[in-house]
Amino acid sequence: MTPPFRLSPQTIQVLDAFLRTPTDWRYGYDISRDIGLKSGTLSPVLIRMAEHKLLETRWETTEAGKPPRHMYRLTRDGLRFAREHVPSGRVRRQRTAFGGVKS
Amino acid sequence: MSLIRKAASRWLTVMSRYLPAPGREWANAMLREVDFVEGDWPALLWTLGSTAALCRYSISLELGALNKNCREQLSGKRVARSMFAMLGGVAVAIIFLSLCIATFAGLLHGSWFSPVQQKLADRLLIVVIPETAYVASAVAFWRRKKTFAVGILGAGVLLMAHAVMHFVAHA
Repeated sequence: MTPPFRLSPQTIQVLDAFLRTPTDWRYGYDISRDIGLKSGTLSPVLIRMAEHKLLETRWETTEAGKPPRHMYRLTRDGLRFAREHVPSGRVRRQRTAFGGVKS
Repeated sequence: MSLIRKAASRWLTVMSRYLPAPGREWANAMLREVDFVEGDWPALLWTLGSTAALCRYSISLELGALNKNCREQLSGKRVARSMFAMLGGVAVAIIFLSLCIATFAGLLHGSWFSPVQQKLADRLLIVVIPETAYVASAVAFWRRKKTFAVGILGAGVLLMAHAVMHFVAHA
């Protein structure tokens, strides 16, 4: 599949984060913490991926009385796209809380 | 909720109101996350980052819409339709002027006028009446059929320029 937009290193990072748990719905802040991207970098990547139907979104109420949160998950196309474009071996690595990388 | 976090949330709420519709959902998504960011300063940084991202996104949306609009305006079909309407306006103006000239020629043929009266009739029928009719019809059509009105006005301007040159040359 040809990338419909420029595949920046940050986009690869986000795809990588989704590939670790491909079926799970994830929150924006969790992804940000996970891969160490700031909201100004992460949000455009998420928007672009959603616009190209690589990401599906939904609102979910997590706690009673609190407003719902926006959640993201790779679509089938997104999953195929991520598998094609994220370098193999990268998925197994995980970042620690302080930005280091562990295998 | 601390003052900093409140201000950050408020800022994103206000900002979302001024965004185009597709951007509003994303602004809300980022706003909801502010409540879950650990620490007040990181929450403020999250808001600032989100603001920058949303600004970029809304600018790209606006540019996209502008680009689409320009392409529509310049599409061949639309230009052809405008040209057709404008030429229609010019044609109507020419037909009206021809009728005025024919009337004038008919009056001359009757030779009811003295030479001075003929000159006045000439100016009245070939310049004043058509020009008045052009301006009146252009005003009447301006809102509904602008290009048609432009065609009529264009013909009027040409006629006026021609008349001025004629009168200057034959004064």
